Amino acid sequence: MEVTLAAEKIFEIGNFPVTNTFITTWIAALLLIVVSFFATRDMKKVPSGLQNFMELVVETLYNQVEGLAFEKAKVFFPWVATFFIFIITANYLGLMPGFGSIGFTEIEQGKEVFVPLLRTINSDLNVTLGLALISVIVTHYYAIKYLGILEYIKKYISLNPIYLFVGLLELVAEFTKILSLSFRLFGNIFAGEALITTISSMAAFVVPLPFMMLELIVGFVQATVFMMLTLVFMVVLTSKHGGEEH
Amino acid sequence: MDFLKDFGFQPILLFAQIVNFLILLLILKRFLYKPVLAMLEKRKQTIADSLKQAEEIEKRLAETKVEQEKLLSQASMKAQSYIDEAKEAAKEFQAKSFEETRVHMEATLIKAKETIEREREKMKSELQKELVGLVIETTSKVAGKILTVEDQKKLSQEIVKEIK
Repeated sequence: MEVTLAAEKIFEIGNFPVTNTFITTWIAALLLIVVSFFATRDMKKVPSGLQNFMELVVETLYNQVEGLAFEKAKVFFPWVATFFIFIITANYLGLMPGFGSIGFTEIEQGKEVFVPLLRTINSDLNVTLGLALISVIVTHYYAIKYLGILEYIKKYISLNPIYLFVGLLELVAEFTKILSLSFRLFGNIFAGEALITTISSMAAFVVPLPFMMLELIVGFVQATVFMMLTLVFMVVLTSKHGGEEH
Repeated sequence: MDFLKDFGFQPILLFAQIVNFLILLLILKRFLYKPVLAMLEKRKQTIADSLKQAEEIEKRLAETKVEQEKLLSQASMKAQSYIDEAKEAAKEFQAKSFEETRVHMEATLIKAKETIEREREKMKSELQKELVGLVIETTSKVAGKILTVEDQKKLSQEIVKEIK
């Protein structure tokens, strides 16, 4: 059994290739929507059960955002929180039994290839790249909104040759951000998936358990890292250039 | 960008994932963040209100206690003044009634004395009259004749002088 870098195509709708990660994305999204719906359907002042849990999640995240963004917290919060909730749900969903193991074999280029029906979402670069693009584009959108277009441009272009060079570097850094955000998440989750698949194929019982525990930690850490980086980028880019104010 | 192909990069999939995420974000915003944050805010408000209310009640309680004490002391002061007043009035009344009685008694006494005096005077004059009559009668009997008016007058004058 081998894990391929690319997500496998299950079927096609018109020109649109439906991959196994795409199916899982919909499952994760549906799960979150259903849970949110039931948690907030009949809200009580004294919370219990699902409402209590979701309140805990939202409040913890909100406090985190508020601690860094202050008055901009209300604006940044939905983006940051959705990154965290979606990524951690995706990562933990990928650890469920059936992921990567239930599927069918296909003949491809003369070789028999196993195609799993479900695959952990973030082991698909299309997903992580999409998340990273949203993160960076939204960050720059808010930077322009809060600073105004002139102040925003001043961050990258300056008449002072030293600052001009710094601005250029920062411009490059913005593009690296997209790559680092997407490949960090993709790499970690893909590696975990490959690790568990490999271990499982060697010894299916008990032995993969420690690795799965490790994956639980990785899943949480990666979600947190993605969330925190997005939050920090948003806060830094929407505040004025420190050196020029004094 | 060839290496991206190895990772299974497909623009249409990327776009679909972005759209997926944005839809999820909108739904979560509507069905999770908004109601939960509103509820948290509401609960915070409720707690703050309750605390404020408790504080107010405590303050009012303390105020009531002070007022109560003030009222009590006021009442006792008033009561004391009433008692004093009553005592004074009683004393005054006593003194007044005593004086009145004395005056009344004195007046009565004087009146009684006067009455007695008058009575005595009356009796005396009556007695005199009777005596005069008697003397005249006796004299006339003794003398055996009826006294003239002049004699009578003279005699009575003499008698009266005698009695006095």
